[in-house]
Amino acid sequence: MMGKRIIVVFPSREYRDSILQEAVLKSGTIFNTLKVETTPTHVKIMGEIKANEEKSQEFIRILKRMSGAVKELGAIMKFDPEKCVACGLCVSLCPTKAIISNRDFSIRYDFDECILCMNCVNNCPVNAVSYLGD
Amino acid sequence: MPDVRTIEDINKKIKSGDVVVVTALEMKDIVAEKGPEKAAKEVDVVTTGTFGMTTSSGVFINFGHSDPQIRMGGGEVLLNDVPTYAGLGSVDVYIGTSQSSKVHKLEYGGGHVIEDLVNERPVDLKAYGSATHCHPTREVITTVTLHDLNQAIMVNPRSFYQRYSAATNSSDRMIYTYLGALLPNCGNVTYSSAGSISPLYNDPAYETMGVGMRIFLGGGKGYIIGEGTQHNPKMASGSLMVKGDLKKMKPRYVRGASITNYGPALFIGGGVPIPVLNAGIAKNCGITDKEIKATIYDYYIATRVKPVVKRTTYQELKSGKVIIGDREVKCSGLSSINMAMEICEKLKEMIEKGEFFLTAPVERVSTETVMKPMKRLYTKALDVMSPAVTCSHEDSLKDAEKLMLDRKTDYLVAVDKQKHLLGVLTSWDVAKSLVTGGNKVKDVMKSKGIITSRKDEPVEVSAKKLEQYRARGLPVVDEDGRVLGVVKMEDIKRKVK
Repeated sequence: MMGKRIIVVFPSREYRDSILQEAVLKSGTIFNTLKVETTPTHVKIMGEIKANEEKSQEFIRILKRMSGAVKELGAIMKFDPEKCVACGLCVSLCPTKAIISNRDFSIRYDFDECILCMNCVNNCPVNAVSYLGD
Repeated sequence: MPDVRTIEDINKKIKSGDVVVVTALEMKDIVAEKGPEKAAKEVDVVTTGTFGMTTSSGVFINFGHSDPQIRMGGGEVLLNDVPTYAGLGSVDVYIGTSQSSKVHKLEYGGGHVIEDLVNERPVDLKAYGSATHCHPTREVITTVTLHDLNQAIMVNPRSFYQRYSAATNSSDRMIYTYLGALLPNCGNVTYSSAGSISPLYNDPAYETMGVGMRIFLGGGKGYIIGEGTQHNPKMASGSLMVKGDLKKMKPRYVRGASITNYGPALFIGGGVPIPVLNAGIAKNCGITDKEIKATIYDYYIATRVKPVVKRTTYQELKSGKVIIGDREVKCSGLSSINMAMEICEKLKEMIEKGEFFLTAPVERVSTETVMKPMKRLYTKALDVMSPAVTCSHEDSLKDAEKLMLDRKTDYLVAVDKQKHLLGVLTSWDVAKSLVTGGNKVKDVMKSKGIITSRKDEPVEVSAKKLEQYRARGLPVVDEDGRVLGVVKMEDIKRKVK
């Protein structure tokens, strides 16, 4: 199941370590943290909510109530099969099962499994895969 | 083996539409099922293919003359800010695929310029020459497309390379090589060949290949023009030099590439139609990935000769997983097997449609060439070592001590009459003898597991050994174990200064 990917930004003074756990417990969702950026003024968290639409919205509402600014993300990785030459380099660099070599040695991307390690983006010789940014 | 047909026979069948062409992949099954004799009777041509990243390739370009004329030869000529080789006639250059752009460095290079040309995209030309009476123009800045050029002839000094090694990385950090990024702690394995469907594996003795053989190159037709650079037939590592007309190539088979933290290159599709003239050739085309050996080397060690991590086959490499130690490691290529298979099919189609006829080579590719390493690229242990102060293992410790004082050294090498290494004695060993006892050198010297230097060992390796084993010195020995000298950290430091 493709989760809903979000970015939530908390002002540092409002942020507590347990903030996400509270939201998870209250809404009954699963939240997978992908990236955390901490600065003196704010904490920015990117992650994936794994739940149905209703629970996901509940989770987002709770975050907002805890003074988080939430942005829902569409696709954040893009694979261009026209550019891909199926060399296969990315397959062995992928730490998860997001990149699969088919039986005919063509390449299939499954971004549900992606943890945004960026190995494929940084190493693709023909720039066939890109990160759309946050 | 007696020939069952000639190239002329095959061409007649192509003309009449009766030719039987199979891809290399299909041929494996036919040979396995029916045997080489029967396969040779049934099949006329086997198509092989490869779609690898090449660095040893490029394009000769003639721009035509400007008015008034410019003498680019000997000057500086850039295409999309990528320098070309201009040491040729007035408007001829050669652009190499691995030349990096002056602006975009490793991200854009000759390979990308070639891709842009094949796609008919405009390419910026900047040419600076020296003004002469007949060629007074000093500078030309314009844009050109492939259509504007008189000639754009691809000449690849090394193509269809038969065997690349496979790579992994034993260190604790990521490294970047020409075989791509390698994850730490042998986290992945990369290789670069289509294996059993690539041309040279299907004709390992180059029986059908040679100068003048027509091939598939970048979607158009090309020719083999001789053995390639680094051609090493005795090690089953052949290569071909090929040429083709860039104007006839298709964008799908010519793709600029950039290897992260290594540099630009070009993906180029190539295919060789192997005429099945006899059962021997058919048998060779039956080769499977299981029979093709591959060695995985540790690319963390940056010497020419790298440590072997595992000897395996293409069957294991292509499976996507390699067992190293007790772990399963992800494995993938850099040479597109998917595209190689497409090229086999494409070439098959071209021959069946009567668009592609075979040619017999004028002269076969050599099976005798030997590949040598570069002469004196590195400083050897032999070049920095100092003479060894030697003693006999039967000498008394007192004599040994005296020798140390006389020669102002704290490191003696015990040898026999033929100068074979028996042991090493340091002042620390002599000091220890005060407690442990012993009167002779052989009683206290270190005689087992002595770390030595090969005489042709790069000095970096000796330095690493000295550090790793915390050794005072390393005896430098020849092939027979005779001591030639001693290399110490001081010797290496002196050389570096």
